[in-house]
Amino acid sequence: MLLDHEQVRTLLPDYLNGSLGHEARTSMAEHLAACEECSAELAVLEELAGVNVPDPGDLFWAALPKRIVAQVERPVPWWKGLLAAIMRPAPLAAVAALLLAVMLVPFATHYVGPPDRKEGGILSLEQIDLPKQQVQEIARTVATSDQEVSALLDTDENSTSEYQQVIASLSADELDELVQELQKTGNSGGDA
Amino acid sequence: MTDDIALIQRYLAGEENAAEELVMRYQKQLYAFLYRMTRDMEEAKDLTQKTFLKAMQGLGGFRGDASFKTWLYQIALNTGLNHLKESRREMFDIDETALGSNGDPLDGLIEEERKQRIRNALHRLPERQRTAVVLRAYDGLSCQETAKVMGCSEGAVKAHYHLGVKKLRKYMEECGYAARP
Repeated sequence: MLLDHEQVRTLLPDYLNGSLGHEARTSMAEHLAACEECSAELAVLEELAGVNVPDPGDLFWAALPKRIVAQVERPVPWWKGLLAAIMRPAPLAAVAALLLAVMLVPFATHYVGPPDRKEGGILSLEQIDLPKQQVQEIARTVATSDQEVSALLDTDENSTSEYQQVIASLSADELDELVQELQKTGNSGGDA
Repeated sequence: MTDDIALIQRYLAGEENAAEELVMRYQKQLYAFLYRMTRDMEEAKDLTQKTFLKAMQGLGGFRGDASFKTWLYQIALNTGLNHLKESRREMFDIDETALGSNGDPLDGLIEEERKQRIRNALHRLPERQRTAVVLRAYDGLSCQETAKVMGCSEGAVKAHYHLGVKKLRKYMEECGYAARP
């Protein structure tokens, strides 16, 4: 194996900590013997390796693993999390209320509730289960009432137009006199 | 030795001993890495614990795209950087008195002083270069693993690493001595 200058420079830390294979190591040694720059870099790394780190002591090393395991919050399986969430007081009450509602549903099926007033409001005759003759009779009565109401309205319309004609023919003095009379009538309650 | 994935599966199945084994396997490496970031033993201890807690709590989401070791280093790097940001400290704060040019560095040089100077030289590197050097030189991560931890390409890791080592050489020479042959 032939290593070039850049490869040797890059592999110097591995050469120093002994992690290279025999062949690479031999090639590195050959290059280092001939290359001043690489051997100077190796010397720098050796100096660095000689700088110690203060040891916190055996007690620290022995206690650390147990301390970490004791402090770490272990990942909880999903079903345990769900169970824990359900077993809290508030969700438990909600579940109980839901179960109670489900149990009461069969007893509440006969209650129909108020009629829907949004669509049509009042039921039509077809919706009421009556004999056909009775339905026709009701329909006739309703039609008669409508005619009478129209007749009354027509009478009122005619009367109104007659009054309008009479008032239109009055002079200004006569109108003032009429207004005064009307005011008196209003003050006395209408029957005076 | 049981591989990491098997230990993770055992832990997720409810075996707490598996988690303890995972912590024991990586605790010293992570502590050393975090110490090199903070240069404070108590902070490094605290951050090591935080890193493992985050890792264990997120273990259910570990997809195995990278190795468990790489994933742990990613968490450690983020935890360390966030801590330094929150405490408004530079990752590379320098003890200028130790690096100062007062007096002759060769005069009365002792081993501890030498180490202190190297430590300081390392802390003078920009964040990315220093992380690349530490992960490659101290933690033995490959370029590929380092790239995953740092969230960049392998090419970028190589560039950061080479620049970092070059600057270290320069700083050490400025301090008046060359690396020991």
